[in-house]
Amino acid sequence: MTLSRSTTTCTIRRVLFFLLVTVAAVPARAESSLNKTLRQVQPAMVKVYGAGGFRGLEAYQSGFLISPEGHILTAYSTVLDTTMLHVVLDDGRHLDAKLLGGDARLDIAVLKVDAEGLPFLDLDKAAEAEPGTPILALSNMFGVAMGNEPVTVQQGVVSIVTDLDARRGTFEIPYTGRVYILDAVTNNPGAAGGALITRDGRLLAMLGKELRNARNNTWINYALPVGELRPSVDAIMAGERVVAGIDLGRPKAVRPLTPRALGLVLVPDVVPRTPPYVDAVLDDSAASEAGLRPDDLIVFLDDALVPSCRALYDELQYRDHFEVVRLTVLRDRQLLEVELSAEGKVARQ
Amino acid sequence: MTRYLHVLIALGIFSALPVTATAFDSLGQDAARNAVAKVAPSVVQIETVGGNDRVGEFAVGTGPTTGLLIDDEGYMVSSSINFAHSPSGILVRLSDGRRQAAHLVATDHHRKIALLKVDTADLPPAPVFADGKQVRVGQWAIAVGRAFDAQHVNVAVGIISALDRVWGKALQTDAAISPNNYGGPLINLRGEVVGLLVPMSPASDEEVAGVEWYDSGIGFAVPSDQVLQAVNRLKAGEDLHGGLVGMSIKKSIAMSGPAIVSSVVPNSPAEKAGLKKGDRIVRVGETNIGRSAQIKYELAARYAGDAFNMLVRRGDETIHCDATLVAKLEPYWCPVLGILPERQESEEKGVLVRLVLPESPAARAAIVSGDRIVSLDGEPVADAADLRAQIARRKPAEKVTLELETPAERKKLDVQLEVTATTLPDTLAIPVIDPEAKPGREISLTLPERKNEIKAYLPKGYAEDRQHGLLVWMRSVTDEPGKMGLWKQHADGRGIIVVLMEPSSKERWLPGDADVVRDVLRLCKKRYSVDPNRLVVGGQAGGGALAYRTAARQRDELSGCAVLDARLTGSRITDHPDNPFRLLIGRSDKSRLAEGLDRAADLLRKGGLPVITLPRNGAPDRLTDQDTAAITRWIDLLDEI
Repeated sequence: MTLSRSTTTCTIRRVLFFLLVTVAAVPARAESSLNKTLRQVQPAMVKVYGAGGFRGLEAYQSGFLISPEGHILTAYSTVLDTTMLHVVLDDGRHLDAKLLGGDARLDIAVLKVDAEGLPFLDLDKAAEAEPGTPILALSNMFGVAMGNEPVTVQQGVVSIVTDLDARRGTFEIPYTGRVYILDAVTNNPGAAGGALITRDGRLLAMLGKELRNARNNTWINYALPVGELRPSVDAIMAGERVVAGIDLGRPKAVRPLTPRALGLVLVPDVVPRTPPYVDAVLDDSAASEAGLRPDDLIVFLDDALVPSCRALYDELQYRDHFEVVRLTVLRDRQLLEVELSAEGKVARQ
Repeated sequence: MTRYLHVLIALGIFSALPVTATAFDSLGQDAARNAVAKVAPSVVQIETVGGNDRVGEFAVGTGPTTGLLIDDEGYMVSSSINFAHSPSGILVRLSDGRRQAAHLVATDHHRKIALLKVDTADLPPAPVFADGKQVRVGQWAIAVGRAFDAQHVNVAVGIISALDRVWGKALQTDAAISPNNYGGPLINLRGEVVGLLVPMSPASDEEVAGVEWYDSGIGFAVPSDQVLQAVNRLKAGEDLHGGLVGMSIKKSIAMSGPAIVSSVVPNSPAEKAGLKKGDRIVRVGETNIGRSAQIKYELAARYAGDAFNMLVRRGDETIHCDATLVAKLEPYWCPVLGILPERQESEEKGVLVRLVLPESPAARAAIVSGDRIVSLDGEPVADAADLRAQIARRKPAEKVTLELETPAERKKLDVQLEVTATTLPDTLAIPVIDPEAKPGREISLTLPERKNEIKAYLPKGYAEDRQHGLLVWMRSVTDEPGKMGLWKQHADGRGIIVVLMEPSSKERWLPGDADVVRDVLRLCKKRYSVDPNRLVVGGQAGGGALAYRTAARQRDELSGCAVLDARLTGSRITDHPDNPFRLLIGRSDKSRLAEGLDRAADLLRKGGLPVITLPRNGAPDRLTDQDTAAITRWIDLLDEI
C-alpha cells in the first residue's frame, strides 16, 4: 500500500511522538512503587534528640508523626529523660518537644510539638504482616541523618510473628506480647522509635529497642505491631500521663509445690544444668501411684520444658500445693505423661 | 504497514517492562511464601534437657533449635552445635504439634551434622532435596528455622553468595544465619532443600567455630548431596571426623609453589604411604597438582577412614602412594634404653655402653658400663647410630631382647623401653681427661657482614679426630657479657665447644640475630669437629626466646635447645625418630614467666617432645655456675639411646 508522501511523514512523526512519550513515561512508571512509598512516608519521620551521649546511651533516636497537630510516636527510653527534648522534622525544622506520656511495659512514648498541618502516618490505616511480608524500616540509626536529610531506609522481610517468650530472664523488657521479628538489621543505636512499613506505604509497627535473646545469646531485630500499641497510644493522647499496663508478673504460689510433695526425689543438683532425673520414688505417693520410676527423666512440667533440676524447682514455685500438674518423663526413649496432685494423690495417666 | 507493526510491537514490549518490575514484588512474595509452606512440614523444633552449660568459652543457649526430617523412617538432621553440650534428653516437636523423644544416632564433626531419630510412624512428609548441579550463585535462598514458635517457622531471605566454601564443604549465603535457624534447611524458591544450615569456619574445625559470624551476612549451609551422603554413613552409628594425613607442605608465597613435602609425622598415614621429605606431590586422586594450595582443597573435605592415592616425584622416579586418612595424629614419643654409648669409633660391631643412666630400663635390666650390645631382637647391631635408629622406631612400653657381650659372658636380656627421664640427674660421670691434653682456648669468630661479637671456646683436649658437643649461647641483655669463665670448666669436662654470641643491638636481641645464629652454626660445623647428636642453641631471657624461635626454624639441624627463664613463642617443636630433639627449660620461681613456662612444658610434653624442667636459684636474668653445670650435663645426655 502506498501513501502520499506528506501523509507518510505525518504518520511517522506521530509514531515517533508516541514513542517519545512512552519512553519518557517508562522511567516515571518504574519510579512509582518504592520512590512513591518513600515520598509519602519520609515527611512523617522525625529525628528525636534528648538526654544521653555517653557510653552505651545515645542522645538520639527515631520517631514518627501520628497526627497533623504534632503527636509523635517514639520509644520510651532514657533519651526522653530531659526537659530539653527536641525533634527535627523531615524538612529540617527544629521544634521543642514535650513528653505527653509513656507506657513502661510497651516501651512506647508520645511526644507533642507545637505545629499544625503536619504530614503524619495514620494509625487507623495500619496493616498487619505475616512471615515473609517484605518490609521497609525507616529510622535514624546511628544518627546519620541530620537537618533535612531523610532518615535511613532498610529493606527486609518479617521473619516471624510471635510472642516474646514470657519465661523469666529471656528478654530484658517487661513486654511479652506479640512482636514482628525482622529479617533486617534494625537492632542498632538510634533506631528505636522508627517506622516499619510495607513496600506500598502502609504502617505496620514501631521499631523496638536493642534487645538480646538470652535463650540463644543472639541480638534480635523486632518491632511492635500497631495493634498492640494502639490502646496505650489512645490512652496517652486522651490524657493519661503514665500508662500502667497490665502487670504480667506471675505471682509465686502461697504454698508452692515441691517434688517431695509429689513423691519424687530428684538427683543431687550439682552442676548448672543437672538433668532432672528421678533418683527415688517415695512409697505411697502420687508419683508411685502414677507409675513413675527411678531414672525417669522429667522433661516437661505442664507445657514448660524443664531443662534442669533448677528449672524444675523454679517452675514449681508457681504451682500451688493443691494444683494438679502434668509431668512428661522420658523413659527408654519413650515419652510418658502423668497427672499428679500432692493432695488426695490423684493420679490419672 | 508491516514496518509500523514492528514499531507498535516494540512499543508494547517496552511499555510492559515497568509493569513487570512492580508485579515482581508480589510474585516474588508469593513464590517465597509457597516455597516456605512446602518445606515447613518437615521442619521440626528441638529442645534439650540437661547437658553442660558451657562448651569451651561459649555459653550454651537454653532455647529451642531447629531440625529437618529427611525420610519417612524417622531420621532427621540438625546442626551438631545444637548438641555440643551433650544433653541427657532430646525432645522434638513435629510440625503437626506432636512431641516425640529423639535420640542422637551419630555426629559428623567435619560437616557439623547431627543425625537424630524418632521412633514413630505417621510422620509429616519429608522435604524435596534440590539437585546440587542446579544451584547457582545469585539465586534466592531462604533460611527456615523453628526456634521461636513451635507452630510457626521463622524465615530469613537472601541469595546464594558462593559455592564450594570452607574447602568444598559449604554453600555461602547472605541470609541471616544464626542459632535461630542452625539445623534448619536453606531452600530455593521451589521449596527444595539446597543445604542444611550450620555454623562453620574455614579457620577452625572446633564445635562452635563460626557462631561468631551469626547474622553477619556470611552464613554457611552443607549442600544437600553432601548431607545425604553423610547421613548414609552416620546411620551405622559411627561418628565421622575430618581426615588428617600427617605431612607438611613447603611454604611458598600464596602457596603457589610446587607441593613439596617438608616433613612427615611419624606413624602417620603419610609415612605409612611411603611419603618422604622432599617428595613432590604431582597428583592426588584424579587431580593433577600444580600449586601446593591445591593439596588442601583436595584433602580438606575428606573424612577420617577415607582412602586416596597420590603420585609423587622422588628424583627421577614417579612413585604411587596409597594413604588412609585418620581422625587424630598420635604424638611421637621416643622410647629409650637409658644408656650413653661410647663415643669413640671402633672397628668392633655393636654398641659399647659408656654409662647407664640411673633408674632407666637398662639400669633395671642390670646392664653396666663396659657391656657391649651386639644384637636387638635377634638382628645384629652395627653401631650406635644403627641401634638408636631402631629403638626410636619402637614404642615406649615395648619389650625388646638384647644380646650383650660382657667381659665375663654373653647373655640375652629382655628390656622394657620407656620414655626418657623428665628430670636431670644431679651428677653424670665426667670422663677422665689426659692431663697432657692440649689446653682449652678462646677464639674470636668473625662472620662477614655481621656486627655481633662472637667468642668460641674450644675445650681442653679438643682434637679433630674426636666429635664434640656444640652450644651456641645467647645471654640475657641485662646480664654481664663475657661470662665464658662460667662455662670453661664444664666444657672441658664434657668436651663441648661453647660459643657465646653478643646481640647486634645493646638493648635487646633482634629478629635479625636469628640469621646470625644460623651462620654461626654453619661456620662451626664446617670448621670444627662437631657431634651431630649434641648440637644445641640456648639462651637466657630474651636470648632464650630467640634461641627457641631459631631452634623451631632450624629444628632438623639441631639436637636440642636449652633456655633459662625465657618466653617460648613460635611453632611447637615435636620429636621425630629420624631426627631426635630435646628441650631443657630452666625456671626460676622468681620469674614472672614461671607459670607460663610450666604450661608450655606440659603442652610440649603432651605433643611428645622430651622436656626437662629444671628449677634454678639464680635471678631470672643472671647466669650462674649451677646453670652452666646443669646445661652441659644435659648436653652430655643428648646421645642417649
